[in-house]
Amino acid sequence: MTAPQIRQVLLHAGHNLRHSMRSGNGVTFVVFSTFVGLGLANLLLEPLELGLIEDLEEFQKNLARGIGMALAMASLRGPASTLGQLFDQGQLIDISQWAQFLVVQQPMILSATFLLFGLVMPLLIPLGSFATIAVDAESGAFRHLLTRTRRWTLVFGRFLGALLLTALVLCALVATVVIYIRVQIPIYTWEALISWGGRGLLALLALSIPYVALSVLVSASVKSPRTALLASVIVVAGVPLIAFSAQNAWEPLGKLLYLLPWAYSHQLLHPDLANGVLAALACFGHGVVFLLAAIWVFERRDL
Amino acid sequence: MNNSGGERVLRVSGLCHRYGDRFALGGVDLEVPRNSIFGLVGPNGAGKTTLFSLIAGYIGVQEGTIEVLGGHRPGHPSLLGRVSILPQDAAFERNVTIFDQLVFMRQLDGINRLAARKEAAAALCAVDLEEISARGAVVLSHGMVKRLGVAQAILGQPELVLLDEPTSGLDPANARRVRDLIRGLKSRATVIVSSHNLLELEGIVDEVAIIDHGRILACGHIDEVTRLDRRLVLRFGRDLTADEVQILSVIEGVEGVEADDLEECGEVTIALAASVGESAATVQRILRSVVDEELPLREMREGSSLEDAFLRITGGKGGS
Amino acid sequence: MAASDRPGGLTALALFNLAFAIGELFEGIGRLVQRYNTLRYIEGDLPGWMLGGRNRGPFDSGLSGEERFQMLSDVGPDTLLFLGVLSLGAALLLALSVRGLLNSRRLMGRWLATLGAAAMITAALLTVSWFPGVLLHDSGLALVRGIFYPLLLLAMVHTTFAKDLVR
Repeated sequence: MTAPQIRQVLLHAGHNLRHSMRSGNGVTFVVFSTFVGLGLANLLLEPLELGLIEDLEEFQKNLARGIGMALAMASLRGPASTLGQLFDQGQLIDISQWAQFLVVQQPMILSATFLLFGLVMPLLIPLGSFATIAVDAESGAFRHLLTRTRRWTLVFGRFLGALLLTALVLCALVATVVIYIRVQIPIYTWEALISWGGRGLLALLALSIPYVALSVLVSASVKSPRTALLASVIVVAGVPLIAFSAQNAWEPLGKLLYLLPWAYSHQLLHPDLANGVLAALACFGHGVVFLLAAIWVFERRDL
Repeated sequence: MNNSGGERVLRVSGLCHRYGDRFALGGVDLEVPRNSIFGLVGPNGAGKTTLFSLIAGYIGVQEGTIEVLGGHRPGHPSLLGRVSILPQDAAFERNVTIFDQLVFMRQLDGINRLAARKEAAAALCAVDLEEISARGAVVLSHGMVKRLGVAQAILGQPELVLLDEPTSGLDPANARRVRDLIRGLKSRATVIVSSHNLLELEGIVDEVAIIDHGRILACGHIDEVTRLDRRLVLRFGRDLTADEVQILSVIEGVEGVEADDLEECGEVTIALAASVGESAATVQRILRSVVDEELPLREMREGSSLEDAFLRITGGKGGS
Repeated sequence: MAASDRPGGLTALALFNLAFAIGELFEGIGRLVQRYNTLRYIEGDLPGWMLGGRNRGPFDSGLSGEERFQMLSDVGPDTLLFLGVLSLGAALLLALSVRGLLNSRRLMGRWLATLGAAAMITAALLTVSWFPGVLLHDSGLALVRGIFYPLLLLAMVHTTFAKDLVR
């Protein structure tokens, strides 16, 4: 990549970020995502705040079991109906230890918030990225740019802009949730919350890369922004739905989950940091594939 | 189709393009000389915008070749900033001020923000939009959008400027301003312009191509194209008799004469022989006959306009 | 010429302002009701059912109604009145700024939104600093939102949309 190309990429990124906020998509994405994240944290804190939980140890135990079930399901350890039995038989000891790590060794509300937001975030990201390409392709505004810039710099720059917006939202969200939990549950120290919050933030940032790239790919592939938003959400939600249904019919079909980071995203919060790094690299790889596909599509598209 | 000498900035050869099963271009050959103003005329749906889109690289070439500025294919990286276009029906971003949009475009060419701001301001001034430079494109009327499009097309130092109907929707003053801008571009760039206003195009273009149904029907210097349809219109103070019309029709170089009776006067349209040199001599002979026969000539005009040629060549389907 | 070239983001911001104005309105009314009940508690007029009840959670203070009102009376009815009026003021300013943002006005849009955001943040920060922590447990999320949104609003009207709010 030459210096002028890097400059163009950065110009497109800045332009996309600014344009996204000015068009309203960005503002809506920022407010909506932050409040959904805060809402999830609140959902987990509410039983404690309202005094509905009397026995903290019992609550932790139940939360660890719930998280363990979710982790086992996401790890494709078998049909959901058999997971409880496997837990009781001690066959999922690694998953149990993982869940204990998240609930007992780390601030449990923060862990649970990260896990839940990791499920919701892929559906929120299209809100901030769906218009990246489709709006200007529909209006013809690209025609004023294409004699001045190469198509791949345009797609890559706009991807970076959308990613930057998502990163800003995630930073604001995690900081807010950490402060919120510290105010509400004084048993955790700032150090513990900031340290685990930092790891969670990195995990969410890594997870956002493939989903932003996927949104850009969809945006580059369809003609209307509304279709882009709808299609992004359908793809993101459709893959796990199809994978789990297919798994019930024939277990290997559960691997369809690997089409998106659904199959390994939870590994980002694995107690073994090496697993987390591997998962982050996989996210990055997924992102690169989607981004290259977006560039390939856009390079060949009639505008 | 143009074989005269000089460097060519654009060579189009055997270009075919189809949308589904409909042909938009069916074997276009075209060459455009450097630092000329080249007109592209044709009826609606003739293929002008498709041709522009192919040259600009908006759509991929299906069949044939296009060589731009030294043999590069459309969209080649070395053409960035050297080719600019006023596209037809392309919108500007509605949420960004028009000034910032031009600054952004110029920055993409690689110049710094300060210089880009100066050039953007100058370009907006050139098309008389400086007063609304801080507004979004959504407030612009159709004519203003067209002028903004012209402003972005002349921004920077393009060597090849493609203007798709640059004066359509403009009031006379702004149309003249744009025509003057196009004339001014000639010293530093080659301009290919399509227009539905053939009379005004005739005043600014050096060469012209007439396109219809995706094919170039005529191409060359504007005199070469219009001489195919050279004619003289004479208006007299009274109707001419059959004998007087006969005298005019037998003059050497006259291919035919049509006489019309108008209110208290007569009009005669004389078709002239093809070449420019011959027709000049023919005109002299006609005038001599008019004087000799003491015909009351009131008005004479050369009716060999681009419009006439266009209508004849395309079968009278009207301007694009 | 079209009537307005307001960016879509300003429209979105105006709608969010309206939503938060309504939220602050209820916040202010709630604070004034709290003050009224605290005054009744001080005068001994509070009905008995409002003094009972006790939450018993691992992080909850397990405050009874009486303990809660005792703490509120320590905070002071005047403080509650001030916070209530501040929230209502923020609500009014945000509501007025909706029209200003929609019409791209400098004073009514940019500066009323700025004042509204400042009032909202002030109310949230003063609540955190003046109230005992145990009284904040059921309003933590509202407080966090009360700080986050005004910061976003300030950033937007003074950077991204600064050039648009000039009329």
